[in-house]
Amino acid sequence: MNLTTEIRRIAQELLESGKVTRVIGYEEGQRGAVRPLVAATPEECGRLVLDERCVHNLALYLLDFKPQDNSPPPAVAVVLKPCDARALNVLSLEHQVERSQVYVIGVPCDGVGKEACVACPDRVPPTYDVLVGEPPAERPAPTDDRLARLEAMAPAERRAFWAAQFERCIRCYACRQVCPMCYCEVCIAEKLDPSWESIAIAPAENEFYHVLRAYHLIGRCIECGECERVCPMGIPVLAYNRFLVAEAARTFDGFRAGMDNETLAPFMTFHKEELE
Amino acid sequence: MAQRFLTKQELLAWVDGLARGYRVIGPVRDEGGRTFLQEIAAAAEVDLQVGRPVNSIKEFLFPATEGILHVRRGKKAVDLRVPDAARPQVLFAVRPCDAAALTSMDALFQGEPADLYWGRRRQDTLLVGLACMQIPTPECFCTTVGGSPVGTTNLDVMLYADGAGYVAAGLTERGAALLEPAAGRPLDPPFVPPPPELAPGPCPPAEAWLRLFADRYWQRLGERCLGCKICTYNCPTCYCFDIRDRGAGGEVERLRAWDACTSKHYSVEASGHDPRPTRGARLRNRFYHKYYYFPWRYQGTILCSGCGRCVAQCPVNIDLTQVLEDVARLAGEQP
Repeated sequence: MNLTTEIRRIAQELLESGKVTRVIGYEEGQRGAVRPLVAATPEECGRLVLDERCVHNLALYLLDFKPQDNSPPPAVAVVLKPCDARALNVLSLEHQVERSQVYVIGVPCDGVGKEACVACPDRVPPTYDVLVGEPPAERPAPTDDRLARLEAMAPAERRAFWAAQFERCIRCYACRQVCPMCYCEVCIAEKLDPSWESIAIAPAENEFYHVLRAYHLIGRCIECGECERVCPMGIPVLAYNRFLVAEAARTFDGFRAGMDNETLAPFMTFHKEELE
Repeated sequence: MAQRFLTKQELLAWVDGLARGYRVIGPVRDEGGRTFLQEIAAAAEVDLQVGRPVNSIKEFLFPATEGILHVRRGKKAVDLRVPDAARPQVLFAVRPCDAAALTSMDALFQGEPADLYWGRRRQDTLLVGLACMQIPTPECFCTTVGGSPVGTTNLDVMLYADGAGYVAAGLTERGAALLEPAAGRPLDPPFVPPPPELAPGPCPPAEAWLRLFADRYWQRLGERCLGCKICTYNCPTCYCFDIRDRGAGGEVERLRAWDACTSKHYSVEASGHDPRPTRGARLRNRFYHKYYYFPWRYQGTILCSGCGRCVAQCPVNIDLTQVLEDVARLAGEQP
């Protein structure tokens, strides 16, 4: 079955029936790329495509349909791969997206060629309303060799590695803008009053920004790796997030963010016993 | 002016010589395969095959962050100091589009009131170009905005790759002097490089932009825009900046750092009102600034040199060349 044909059919039906007001999917772009499309009419759904070039995490665009002033947001449909669907679960748990207003067109995934795909064990989205296409065979979780290399470094060596990476950063904030979990109205890196860091695009400020962002993502990062894909300077952004993902899993019984729609991140929960 | 043919070894030896007197900036490829313009210690580091480095030459004339005033409070007086000028520099292997970009940047920074920091750096900078003997990347569109793959605008020396070596042409007095120590043999008659073909795309006139300001097109384009700053920071002509003080108490440094109209808080006014409240409105501003406002203000000078970085680097495929085509087409369709 042709996935593109199937996606178009489902999207058209959803819009024609009035079940949703938008379908967020992928369309053919310029120069052989695909890109996000927020389709508003059945005709526009004719532009939707689905193949292994669909790298973007479209859960990001659900943040444009947040509940406003206590009235429910408009219903939208969205095409989500496994990691993208984990993002939706986290956004729903954090009350950023109203899950009942989102119709998920889930797509099984065998990797889309991103760094994130290298060590990804997931093949089927953890949440969906309709599944398009055949799930590929399950496979054991591959190891993250890059993470292992970084963890094997002596502290001074690792320090030097990251210092060199952050020195290249230009604070374009693409990693933050593309991250579904980075939805703060005003990022702490850009707050003016109080100001937590200067406007300088310089090593110390860059590092402050990246470390801060990493800490804000502990137990929330769903490893889609969009941060690293979009970085124009080639900074391995996902590597530090993966380090903290692994740390959260080690500390909290294999916890992985967004695998269901019930389990809050460890840092968002509190048990009395923890006082001991 | 004088031309010389240099083998690659002679060229690199010349650059090594320059590095003794100047800070030399050139394209260097990293382990990951990306090429960046950066300060080099030796000519051997330079990647002469690169079509277009990730960053533009902008940061070497208008640094991403620059201290513009140092304030120190003493017991009796306040000491205000403008930081000293940096070392004279040579920008090596500059592509013609990056050099051409300086025309609009000069119009802005050298106009009234002239910008001290740009002016003195510009004065202390020599540009050695590397002509595009083939069109280096699929995103290149310099001819659309009046440029040329072998254009020499704003360059002091131009290099043309030719067989086993390079033709080096001194274009200014300073450039000829810079070239003086180079080995190689004089070229007589001079070599005239055949420019490669690059068909210009549409470049809509002011009326087209005027007509389309309120069009839904911009909101739709903004739907997929991330609101990051990649397209502006690596652009050779985006010059917006912010100024704030760093430090407290007796010692404060006034910083000027890049900022971008594509980001969310850029246009928020003191009242809290934002005249460009959506991603679409902000994206529209970037294109209008380049193709409508700036030419209107500076005698037709387009604030874009067609380098193609924003096209190549946009994570969601917002393609300026497509925007130009769309504006031309949509304006034609309107009554």
